[in-house]
Amino acid sequence: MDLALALHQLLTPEILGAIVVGSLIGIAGGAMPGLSSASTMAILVPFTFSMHLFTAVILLAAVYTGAQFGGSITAIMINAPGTPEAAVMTFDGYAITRRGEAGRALGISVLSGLIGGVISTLIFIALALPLAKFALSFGPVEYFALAVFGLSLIASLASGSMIKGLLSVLVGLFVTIIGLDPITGTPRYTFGLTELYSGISFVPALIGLFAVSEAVILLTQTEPLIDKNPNMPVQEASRLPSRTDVRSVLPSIGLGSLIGTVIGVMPGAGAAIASVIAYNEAKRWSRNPKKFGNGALEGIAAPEAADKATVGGALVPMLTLGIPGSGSSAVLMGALVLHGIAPGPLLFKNNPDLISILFLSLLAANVIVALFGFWGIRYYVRLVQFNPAVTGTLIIGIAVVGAYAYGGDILAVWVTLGFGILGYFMKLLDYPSAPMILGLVLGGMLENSLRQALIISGGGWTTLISHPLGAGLLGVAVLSLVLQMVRAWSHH
Amino acid sequence: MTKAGRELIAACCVVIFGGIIVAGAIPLLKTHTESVGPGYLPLIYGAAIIFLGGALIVRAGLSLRHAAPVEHIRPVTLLRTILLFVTLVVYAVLLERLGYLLSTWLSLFICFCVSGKVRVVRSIAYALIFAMASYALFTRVLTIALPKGLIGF
Repeated sequence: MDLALALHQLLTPEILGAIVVGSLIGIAGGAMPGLSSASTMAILVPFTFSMHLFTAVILLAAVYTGAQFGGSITAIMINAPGTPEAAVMTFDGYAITRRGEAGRALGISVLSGLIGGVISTLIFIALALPLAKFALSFGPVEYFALAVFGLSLIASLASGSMIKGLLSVLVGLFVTIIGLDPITGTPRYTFGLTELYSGISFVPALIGLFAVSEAVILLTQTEPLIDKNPNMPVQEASRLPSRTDVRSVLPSIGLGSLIGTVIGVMPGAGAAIASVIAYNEAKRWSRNPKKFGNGALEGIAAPEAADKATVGGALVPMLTLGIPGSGSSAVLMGALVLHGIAPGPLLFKNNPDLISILFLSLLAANVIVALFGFWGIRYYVRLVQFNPAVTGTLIIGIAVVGAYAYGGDILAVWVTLGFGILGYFMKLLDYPSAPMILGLVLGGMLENSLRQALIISGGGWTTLISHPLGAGLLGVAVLSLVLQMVRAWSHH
Repeated sequence: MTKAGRELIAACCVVIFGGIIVAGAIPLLKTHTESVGPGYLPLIYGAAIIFLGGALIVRAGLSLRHAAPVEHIRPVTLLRTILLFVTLVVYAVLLERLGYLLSTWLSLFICFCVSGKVRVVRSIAYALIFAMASYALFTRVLTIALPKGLIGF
């Protein structure tokens, strides 16, 4: 990696502009209740068509970073988390705001996010290179085992019911079957429609599942999304935390950063789980655990650091192995595929410039988000007062035009709307949608690697357990599923 | 309808969906005799979906015995949802026939009206501004062709 060249590229107006614009859009998207970081990114993907690869990827990475912080602003200021992962921030953040110390809470949130984001980006680059080099030795058996391992984690770590998580994965896997079989050329589930021969595109499905489904909810809900606090002490935003405050939360920030990075690396776990675990661990190790829930600064620092640290963590498996660690990194992966780049170990060999500039851009995005965080607190809070009907309708408009522009035909629009309606019902019935997206991403790899492995071995299934790494990964996958089932059964 | 009742209906749909996948996989298995032909994984996916759907049916069935609180979906929400889905389908049908600009303006205007939270005059204006701005952005700036339809744009 040539970091000097990457730094030179980073300082061009186009790249710097992408980081600044992406950070602002991300903060705004994250602050709007109902929009997650993944949906904000999914809406933007069609706009990156004509951009240079670096600009497109960096813009989306900056949105990802910004959205993680945006969700916390409204959680702290008005008790309305903009994103699911920011829900934990309401426990102590809003309590501090009600004491008239919103600036302290937001300042700690910005600082924790900055440190968490920088630590995870450094760990990302330290882990990614060796992992990518190691993954270069993988054959079809290892890739098959890796896909099964990733899917088992996704299903078992999905929030809510494990059965529903598995079903979501299976539907995603099935969708990848539709179209011409890559080995025999046989049409599968095309119902005679030649338009389906090339399969169902990942990007329109992703826009539908993440963006259109949330737009439908915004347009149809009758109750307000948030309880607006008329006495919101916005003027307190300028009062920043003291040095003593900062010193007192540093251990919690370190703890949250490590938890967030580790959980971010695990496919499917996500920032929401990382935030909750970081909060619980910070409470467990705190000298004053009773303060948690009543306005403890550590109760903001640990989950915020963990939340932002998942960004770097989630990029490790996505870039090195082609397995996205979260819904947002799946969107980023979609953007890479859109520009003709296949994530995986060869990415580090063939596009080292992209990795270098992405690494520096993530660091820059963290700093810029922090600067905007301190500067614009009082302005972002107004975003929650934006009419959800306008937001929802505009999302539908952008999703449709984006899907058409992506596919170049009406099929992409049908896919987007179909997956949007499916996603709406999934949300209504508590079926997680992220596992489906990851099933869509991994389905092709799973089938192709399995069939390649069996063709190479002459049809012998024992080949799947004859490779030590592959067998180990398959064993861990089965074990994690069984353990999860046993735990679910014992809870029941 | 109770939550368990809703879960039961959803689980039945899941099982039917799995059945369709299995039915589509069987002809593929008959025509290809390789160890893992094109029908092999669809069969596994379909069977797994049926199995898990069955588990959800059992779980929902057991829950039905307990006196769960009845969850009413507000008629307004139901009506809005149905109208919105119809609008989205009509939008996709009309997109290539009427052209991007007209179909988008009409569909977004109806979406605003369905939500019941934006005044009619504003709805017309917002929908028109969005349709024109997005058309200009995609066709002029991003140079991506959008459906022209009857009126040429």
